[in-house]
Amino acid sequence: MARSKPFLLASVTLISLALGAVIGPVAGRWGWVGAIGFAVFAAIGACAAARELLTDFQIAVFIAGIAGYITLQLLLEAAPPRTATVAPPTPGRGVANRRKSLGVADAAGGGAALAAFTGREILGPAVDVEVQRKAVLWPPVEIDNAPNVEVGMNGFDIDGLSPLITPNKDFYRIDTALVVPQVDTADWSFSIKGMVDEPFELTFDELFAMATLEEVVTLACVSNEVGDNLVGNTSWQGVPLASLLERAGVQSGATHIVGRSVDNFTTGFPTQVTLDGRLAMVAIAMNGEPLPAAHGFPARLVVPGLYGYVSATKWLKEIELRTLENFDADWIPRGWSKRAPIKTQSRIDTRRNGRQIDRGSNAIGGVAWGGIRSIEKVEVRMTLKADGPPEPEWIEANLGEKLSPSTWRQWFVVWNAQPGNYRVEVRATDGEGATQTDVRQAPAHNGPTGHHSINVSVGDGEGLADPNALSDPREALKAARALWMIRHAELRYALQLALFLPARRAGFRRPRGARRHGSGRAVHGRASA
Amino acid sequence: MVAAGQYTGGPALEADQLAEYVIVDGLFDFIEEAIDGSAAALNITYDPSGYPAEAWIDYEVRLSDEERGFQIRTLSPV
Repeated sequence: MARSKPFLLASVTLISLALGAVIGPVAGRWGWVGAIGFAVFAAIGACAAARELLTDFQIAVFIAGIAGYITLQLLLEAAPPRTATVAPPTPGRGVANRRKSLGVADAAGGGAALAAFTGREILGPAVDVEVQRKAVLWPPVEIDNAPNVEVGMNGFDIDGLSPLITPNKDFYRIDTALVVPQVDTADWSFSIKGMVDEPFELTFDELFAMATLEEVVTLACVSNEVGDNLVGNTSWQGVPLASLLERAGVQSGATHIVGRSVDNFTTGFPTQVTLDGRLAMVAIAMNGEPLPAAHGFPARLVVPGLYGYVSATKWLKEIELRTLENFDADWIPRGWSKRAPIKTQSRIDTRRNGRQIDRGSNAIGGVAWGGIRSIEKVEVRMTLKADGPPEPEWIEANLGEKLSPSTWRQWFVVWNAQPGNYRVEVRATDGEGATQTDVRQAPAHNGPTGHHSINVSVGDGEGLADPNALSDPREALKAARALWMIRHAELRYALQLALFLPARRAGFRRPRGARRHGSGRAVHGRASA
Repeated sequence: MVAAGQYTGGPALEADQLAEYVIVDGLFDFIEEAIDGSAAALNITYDPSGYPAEAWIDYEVRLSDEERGFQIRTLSPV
């Protein structure tokens, strides 16, 4: 399900070339084979394009089919004869034919590239989503009970650790769209229909004016292998799904909420999950800005605690109430489960598998998530792989802030590592007291299970650097922060501080023995330490 | 932070000035801003635990009385 688009595109290209290599020589003998071949190609392309509602690809497919056939005929005419002739060949004619053939092939290739570029420019969407995003009056509405989240907040500042809030540019993207839909908000509307008493439709402006909910939610892809990164934590803003459903009046028996995108992709989840208090929404913003095009502009579904393939419809155009029995969303016929709560998972971020680290204090950290059950405990163990005790005790990790019940939490431990080869393993316990199973299960068909573990080799070098020994002030600050973070992050301190504002007027002298971190510019007229 | 003041008994700091230095992280930020702002000279001493024990920052060598600094006198868990 994940990361298959490059493979798909490469496969289509290679298969097309292979079929062309077969059809071409046969068409040299029987021209009608070439015609049929291109007709079949064009028909397949037209059928595929018929599913694409945002651009008028059918015309392009028709033109491409005709152009391809004409090109084939030109190439066949230019090609040297493949059969022996009774008359002796004219000197130089074969070479001329081959040159002509190559010339036609070059011209065809160049023409195809030009046509592809021109076609995309002409037939492609005329909408500039970035312009529309920037035109949105922001914020569109005051937020009720906004969480205490600053855009870009990082939580624990440990090298390699995922930030507490995932920036939009780093948020994973999994969808079936080969081309990101570019939705024109002037034509777009959102509707609720199906088994409801009063179906209704909202314009872009009407929907944005109702977006009073903000919640931090961790979304995860069901295809996210243990330890992988198809998961992200973001502050979403949108319209509470519960209020939309209440306005529509959900009929009894409507057990299935189906989200449908502008390109007709569907997801579906039980209506019941909207009644247990989780803050599902039709989201219009992430991290304080309108949804980026790749993440579903202008609107998408966000349902805490459910894997994306059953809930997170991007480029949303409608919600339809149905029954679980009479409708299967897109991934269900492929064997994936209809009910897909996010499983509890934990991941090690700060070290990579197979890397060597220095002995001494090392921060091992990562993130853990548990759907809407939150995370209450994370534990780590380091097993010496040779000549060590069979299995040490689990060490409880320091946990970061819990921004909402449905967000991931950062964790870290300080490991006084001694030389050797280790397996570092992590497990999490959710808010209901259930500890992550160590049984490995592949993502299909309802999400992966198992502990994330990495192998590390501890060398003889020293661990964290002494910041006072570093001449580069930026490196010194980084080392100091790392030291402070892993030794004192779990404590809050009261400071008694002397401030010097300004230093000279207050009689301050540069502290004796203080290491000087110069910026490279000379200091004149100052007493040096 | 439980107390702060001018090193030699100058006027008490305003609340918004105090707010800049409430926690150790704020002191790190203070130093980072100085580095990012290309301060002319920095003298920082870090405690073995990592926190900045003393700092003295000269932002512009041709100006006087714009230097800033701090010294942590006590630090205790709460």
